Amino acid sequence: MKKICALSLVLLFAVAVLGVAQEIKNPDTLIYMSYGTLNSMDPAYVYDTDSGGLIFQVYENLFSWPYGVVDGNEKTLTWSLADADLIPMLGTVVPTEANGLKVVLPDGRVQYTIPIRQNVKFHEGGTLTAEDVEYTFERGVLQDRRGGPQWMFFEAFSGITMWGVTDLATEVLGRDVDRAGVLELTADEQAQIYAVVDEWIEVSPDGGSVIFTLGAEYPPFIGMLAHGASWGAILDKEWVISVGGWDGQADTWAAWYNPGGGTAAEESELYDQANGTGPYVLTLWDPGVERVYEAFDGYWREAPAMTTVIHRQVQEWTDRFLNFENNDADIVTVDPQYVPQVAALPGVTIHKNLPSISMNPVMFFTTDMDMEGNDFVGSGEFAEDGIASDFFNDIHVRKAFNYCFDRQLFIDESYGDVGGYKTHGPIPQAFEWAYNPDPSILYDVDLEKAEAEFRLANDGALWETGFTFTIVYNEGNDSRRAMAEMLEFNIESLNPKFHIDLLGMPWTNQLDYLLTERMPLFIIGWIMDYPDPHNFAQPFLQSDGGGFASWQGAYMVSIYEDYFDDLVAAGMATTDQAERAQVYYELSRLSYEYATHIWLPQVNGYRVAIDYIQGWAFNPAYPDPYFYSIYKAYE
Amino acid sequence: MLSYIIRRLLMLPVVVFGCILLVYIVMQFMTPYQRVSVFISSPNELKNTDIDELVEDYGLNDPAWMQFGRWVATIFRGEFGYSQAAQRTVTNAFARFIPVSAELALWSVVPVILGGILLGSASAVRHNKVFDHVMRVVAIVGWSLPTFVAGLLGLFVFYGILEWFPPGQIGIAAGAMMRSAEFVSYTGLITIDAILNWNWFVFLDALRHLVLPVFVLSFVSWAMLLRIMRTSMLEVLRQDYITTARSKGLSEKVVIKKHARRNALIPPLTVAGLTIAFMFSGMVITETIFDWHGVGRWAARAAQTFDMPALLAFMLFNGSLIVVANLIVDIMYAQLDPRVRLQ
Repeated sequence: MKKICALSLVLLFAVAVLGVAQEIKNPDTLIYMSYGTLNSMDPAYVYDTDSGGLIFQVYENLFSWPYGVVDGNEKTLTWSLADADLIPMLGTVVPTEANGLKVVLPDGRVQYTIPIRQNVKFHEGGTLTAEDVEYTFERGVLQDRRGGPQWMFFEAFSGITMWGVTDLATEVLGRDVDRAGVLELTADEQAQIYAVVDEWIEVSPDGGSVIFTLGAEYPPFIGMLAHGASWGAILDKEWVISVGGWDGQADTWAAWYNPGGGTAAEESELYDQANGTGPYVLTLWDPGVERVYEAFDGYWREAPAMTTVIHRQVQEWTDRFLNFENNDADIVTVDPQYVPQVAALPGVTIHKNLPSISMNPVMFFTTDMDMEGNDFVGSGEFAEDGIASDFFNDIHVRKAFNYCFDRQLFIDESYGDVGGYKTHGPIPQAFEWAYNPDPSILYDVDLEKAEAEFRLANDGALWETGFTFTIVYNEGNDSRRAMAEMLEFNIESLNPKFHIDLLGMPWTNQLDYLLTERMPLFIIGWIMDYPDPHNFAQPFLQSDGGGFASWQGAYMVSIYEDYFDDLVAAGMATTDQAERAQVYYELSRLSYEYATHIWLPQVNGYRVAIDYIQGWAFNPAYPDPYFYSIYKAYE
Repeated sequence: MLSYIIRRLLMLPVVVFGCILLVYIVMQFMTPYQRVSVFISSPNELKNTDIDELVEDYGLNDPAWMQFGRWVATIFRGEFGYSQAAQRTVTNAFARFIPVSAELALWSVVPVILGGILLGSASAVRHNKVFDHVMRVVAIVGWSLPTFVAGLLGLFVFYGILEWFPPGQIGIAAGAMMRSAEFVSYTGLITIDAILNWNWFVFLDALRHLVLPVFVLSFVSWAMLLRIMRTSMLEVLRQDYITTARSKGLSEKVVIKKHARRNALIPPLTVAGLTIAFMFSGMVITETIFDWHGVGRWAARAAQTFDMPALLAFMLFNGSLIVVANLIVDIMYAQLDPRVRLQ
């Protein structure tokens, strides 16, 4: 017994000795810890930030957003989201009308010609050509997996008349074609459809450029090509074919359409393999556990300083924190509520007030609710113990709710150290040219006005009758719970007959109620697809934009149809920023007038940087840290 | 004995089927939209997704018996489906995660058995002496301390302050060695593979990462076993045959080892066997706190996200494990006590 104890102690001591700290640990290896899981490595398939983060390191696009540097030494930010500032990457010149590479054709179509860089190698040994670029975008468009990002290109190429392959097939063949029908297309039919796509994306006669032809002016198009998170990433055509991808033929593409029905990501041939031109090669992917990257020794630019990057998925905050504290992790994901904890660590700087391109969260009203099996409407009657289906049809009710939310208090209490800003509609502050902080279109807390609106609601009957319903928020999300609590407190303080219950619910449960329009109020957010105001105006304010607006019930949808849809389209009809800014201001103003949402305060972007990490690139459009520019040194 | 074993093993598919059916019935109370949510990871994906079409494609609107039959048919084809929670097939998920949990369980068995049985026995022999009192206090603390509290405290002290025992399964340098072509993964258990590769750096690093999670995982079981062993031993030591053995002139060591402990082992062994079997499903807290990607954590994530293929497969696995563990305990019971006949 004694021997066993002694041996155990010796063994413990031996293993503990291994933990001797160095000045800069792992000097050639960057260790990044975050949470979230990668869905796929197929650039045409992915539509989530985590997958985009991998593609961002391994692949490259035709252009890239320039970055500033936010690191331990707080270098000056020089990032930009303007097309004019885009950095040529695999495309050598950003097409503009001034340089003649963007041409508006007499019939209104728009052509972009992009010269392709020479002597760029893929990881597996191939050499980049214009054909690779053509193939990349044709493959993406024809794959068009359900729930994926290709709708953007359909919108752009078609002149905002199509959303996917089914729309294209229906138009070309003159009959209704659904997703199942695409799989049954004959070779001839496939060839007919491909002929249209082929016109959209072509290789120039000299073979050195790619020509994109859009159905009409589409302002975000170049930005879509630049967005470094999947759909713009350039593939090696020969390699994709060699691993079982589409052979590039006009009459075979349907076999690769919508792999796995859009939900079985593993059905795509590029699900678990990547071959880009980027500075890093993916050498290991252990799903849900870690990814390992090694520097690409054939990279066309200067080699990255970090020869190895290990990206670990660590769900537990305590683990991430302790690893960061002990410098066993160099960059970790820090949720807002943990910022004060890391700020106290030696050598750590919190960079605040960074722009972020998201509207997350926003509170939506549901009109004409489905009352069947609805657990959130109390008795379901216009009475003190419930609400009727059309509770939020009344604009006075919507305005009253808006006046009950104290935005500044929420920013101070919930966003704390990181800070936030009040929103004036769906346009994020990061779009400085389109965001208008006009206080006259902002509902700020005013309980007197709230009471006045409630007294007007239902021709005065609501104030006398009262109501009861439940606000649902994301379980585990402290911010959203706080928002719901604030509303509850302020509303119930106005009238003892007003009752609001709160319920935390997982996303998986919420989806059901959301889609069946049974949540009186729902809280949801939107992360950008590409950095353009249209990508925010559309999901929030277009009746059939495939976004959240369509879940707000028939009454609200009719408002969008009557007052918003044409404006949303107008925002895309010109590239003149001043004109577009006016459109987005008008959309925000109308949203205020009709009280379509409760536009909640948005948290500012922030960065937690430790002093020996240098060169950390920043651009709000980047999905993840850009490993290429990072190096370790005390400066 | 053999016929007994066969009869017990024949019960296995019945028990497992019952567990699976129970889970399946509970899942049917969820709406198709709730069950389809496992395929929608973010609101952005809803933009280009026809949810009703998705429900149709996965047959989530079909009658429950049809959905169950479909799943059973795939099982007989050897396909367990795809786990959204693990981002890989269920088969691959098991292959990846079971060795992780098995490694934790393997190293936990040692302190559970040694700590619980030997120390419990020693405590009983030194009844009401200082050693006994100390062990009783330690056992109560272990029994009372929630796993997550012990784990977090341990992490803060032994890693946050002392930097001795980090979370995760392996360190950076050792991980790089394991990724090299020279290192062959035979079993998936890092300590075992390190020994087989004769790589002592990896072995010691893995051991270093095992200390805290093993301690946390085994502490509660160890404390419980100590109490049970102590009680059982005290009872046995009071028996007439022990007095007889002593009066025959046998040494105390022989009395304890050959006569007392063997008989006292029966109750704690029953508990130990089941405790170890339940470890796999009970590991979720330990695995989460220490960032070990094992089967318990995967199952918890599958339950959170309604990942049906993963959940059902886990029920299969867990049910089988419990049945086999029970059988092993019964066999060992019969070996220890000749009066017990397995019929």
